[in-house]
Amino acid sequence: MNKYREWVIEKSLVAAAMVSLIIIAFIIITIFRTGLPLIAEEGVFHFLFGMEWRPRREIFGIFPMMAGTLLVTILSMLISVPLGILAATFLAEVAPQAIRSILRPVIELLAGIPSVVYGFVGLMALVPFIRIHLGPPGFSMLAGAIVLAIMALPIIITIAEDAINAVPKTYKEASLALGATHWQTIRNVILPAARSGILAGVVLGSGRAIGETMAAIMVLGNIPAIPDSVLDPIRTLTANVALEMAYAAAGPHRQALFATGIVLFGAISILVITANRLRRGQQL
Amino acid sequence: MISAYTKEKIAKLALWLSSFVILAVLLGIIAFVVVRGIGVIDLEFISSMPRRGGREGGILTMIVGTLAIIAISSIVASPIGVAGGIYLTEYAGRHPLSKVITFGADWLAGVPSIIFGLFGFAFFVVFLGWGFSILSGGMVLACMILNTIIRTSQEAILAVPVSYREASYALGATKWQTVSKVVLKSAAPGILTGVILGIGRAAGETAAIMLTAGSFMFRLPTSVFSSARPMSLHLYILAMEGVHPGAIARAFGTATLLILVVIIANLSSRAIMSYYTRTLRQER
Amino acid sequence: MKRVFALVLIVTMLLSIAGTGIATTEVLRGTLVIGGSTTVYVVTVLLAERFMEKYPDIRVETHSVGSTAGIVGANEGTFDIGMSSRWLRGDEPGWGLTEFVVYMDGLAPIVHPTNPVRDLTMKQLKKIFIGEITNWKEVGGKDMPITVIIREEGSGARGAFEDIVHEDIDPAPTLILVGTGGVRAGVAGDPSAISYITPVAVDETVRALTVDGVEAIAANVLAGTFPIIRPALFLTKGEPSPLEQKFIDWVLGPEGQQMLEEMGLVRVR
Repeated sequence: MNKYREWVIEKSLVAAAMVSLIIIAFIIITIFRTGLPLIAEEGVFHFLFGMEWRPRREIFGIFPMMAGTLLVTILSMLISVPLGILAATFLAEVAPQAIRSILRPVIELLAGIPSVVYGFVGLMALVPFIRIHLGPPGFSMLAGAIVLAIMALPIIITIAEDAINAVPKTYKEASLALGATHWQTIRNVILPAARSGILAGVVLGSGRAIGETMAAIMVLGNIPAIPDSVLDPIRTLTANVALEMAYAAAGPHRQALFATGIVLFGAISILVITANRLRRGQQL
Repeated sequence: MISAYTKEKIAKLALWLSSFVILAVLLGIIAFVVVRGIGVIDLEFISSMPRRGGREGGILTMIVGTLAIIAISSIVASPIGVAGGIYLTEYAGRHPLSKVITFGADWLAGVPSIIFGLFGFAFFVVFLGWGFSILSGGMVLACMILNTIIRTSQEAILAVPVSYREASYALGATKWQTVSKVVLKSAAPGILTGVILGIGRAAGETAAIMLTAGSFMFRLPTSVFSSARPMSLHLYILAMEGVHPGAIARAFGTATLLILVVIIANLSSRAIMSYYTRTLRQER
Repeated sequence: MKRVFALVLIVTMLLSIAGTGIATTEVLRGTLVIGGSTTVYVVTVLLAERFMEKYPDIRVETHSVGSTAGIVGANEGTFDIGMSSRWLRGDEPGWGLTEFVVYMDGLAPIVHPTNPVRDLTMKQLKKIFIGEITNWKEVGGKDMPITVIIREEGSGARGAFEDIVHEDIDPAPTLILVGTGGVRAGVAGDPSAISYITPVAVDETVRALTVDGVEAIAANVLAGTFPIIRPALFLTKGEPSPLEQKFIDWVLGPEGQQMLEEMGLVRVR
């Protein structure tokens, strides 16, 4: 009797644990079912590398959005990666306990602030600032990159700090014993040893930037074209879906937005898998 | 040639600076919102219905909508997430399935909210016919916060000393008896922090909600099939559609409330966590 | 013969009075889901608020999702009543939707208050929005590049503006912003910007231009002298249900139309 009960419990726990896999499967099924027919009809090449997005004429090319997503992510990483690695190193190696106990909640809070609040602050503060000091229109890749950089920081810091803490203390002691300064030890021993973990943080941070929606719509200006400068507006893949989904009638337009979702989902999946392998310290 | 000593000084300065930059960014964002928003918040703002399209009156319906959606998502996600966490820590062992499930949870955590929105729209709203409703929105959020709850439950359960389990087994308890009566009991506060953090995330989510819960705000919801507009979405709509100064003021008020929710969620989960680790240490 | 006629008349009248009597005692209750145009939404929420005060048993849910989604939603049954701020086009007229014109609206070109340009011709407007005119000096303004701000795809304002002003040519925008408030804030913050919004939403932060010398005010919209006009439509699938009919009748009735007029809109009844 007891044995039977234990069996039932174990199996239901397995079932519960499987739920996340089931959800992933459902996401894949629903998105692909709506989006794939359009990609098939348009042709993968045309859809991915088409330069024009004109739903009213049923022309669906998402290349400008892919480029926009990539560019704004790279720009945001240029801001957040150095800052994030410095902060992670600071937390793990240098910060006194008192400072650490202030910074940790600060970083958690940064991670917890809703993206719509970041977008709102970007819209009310950053966009006018850029417009006035750097030139119109203000809604720009730069505005987006700054907002996304702030949003990606907590992820980069947390994961990089874990990676640095995971470096065996003996490495550090050996380096110091050889007469290296603390900074030399950090630079030449600790950071290289933590490299793959830090890289995982950067990858997941870019994932956050790529996947961000609300802040992107609110500050990027949403023009589906490849920008000439960082002050030009762009549209990301996420913004494309969110901007037009509410409007899109069932039909090719809605399908094209789900197809955009497929590309987004694919990109994020590659990043998650990459980060997963990096964190296990495997060579790619 | 700069001496190693000078380099050490410069590097340490950069490390310290990085953390001050992050602190300044957080304080700047909070100050920008709260300074303009706190004046809007009073008893009337949080306890009265919106009037004249949200330009006047309060945000009672939005608060109720947020609470209703949070309630559904946490009621659905908590048991599943905790059960998943139990399975991964107590049952799975080195079973290959555990690796797959952990990866699935990580994958799910990386999926952008707009993809959850597309999924929720296609599955809950259209396929299951739940329409734009609290139920659709709550279920989508449940999928989104599942990973947070699994992860924190896992950590909390792992933190329970092995000796507890051994003592329980020595007394002749079955595995489930040990897990439910001994392990879960000591891990409960840790698990609770996971649920609170999940709720914090759910409260601020916007993109997924936009495509699943609708945006109705003039009556309190009467059932789970009522449409509702949570505070996060209300902030977005006010910011984008705000054609009236009253609307912008209310947007700042709503943003302030959202930040307060996140601060409270983080503080309370920290408080629970520190209490929990203290008692565990004492018992040991 | 006359008497019989009179008798029949009286009986019919009595019956019809009795009939309406029965109808009003039978209280209509339920939920009415209305969705569509963001422009009509702003007006409809105010109408719905008043309507619900009057008929507490009826819950009117309003969703701001854009004209195209409103039309499709009415057709697919997502919405009981769809809202659109443009006429039906393409295949849409063949879907069997019943149209109710709620009010008529103009679309006023708006610029920054410091912009010296006061009037544009339809031709100039068209050239600006399709990117053939890119500097304000070409239309008598200062030497500065024009920031062309348009609405997001699916917006009724954008659809109507495109249909009327630049027909078959795609727009060449500098920015795409969300919502009436979004484009207005965009223009308010940029001295070189131009966009279009409903005249009702024009405030001191932006300036409405005249088009071909005609001001975008209610009288000119009603007279049809202002060239960029569009309807606000309620749409039902087939004939409206009693509940839908009740709301539509109220909006088209004296009370609803009075409210519309107070908002500065052009009443149709």
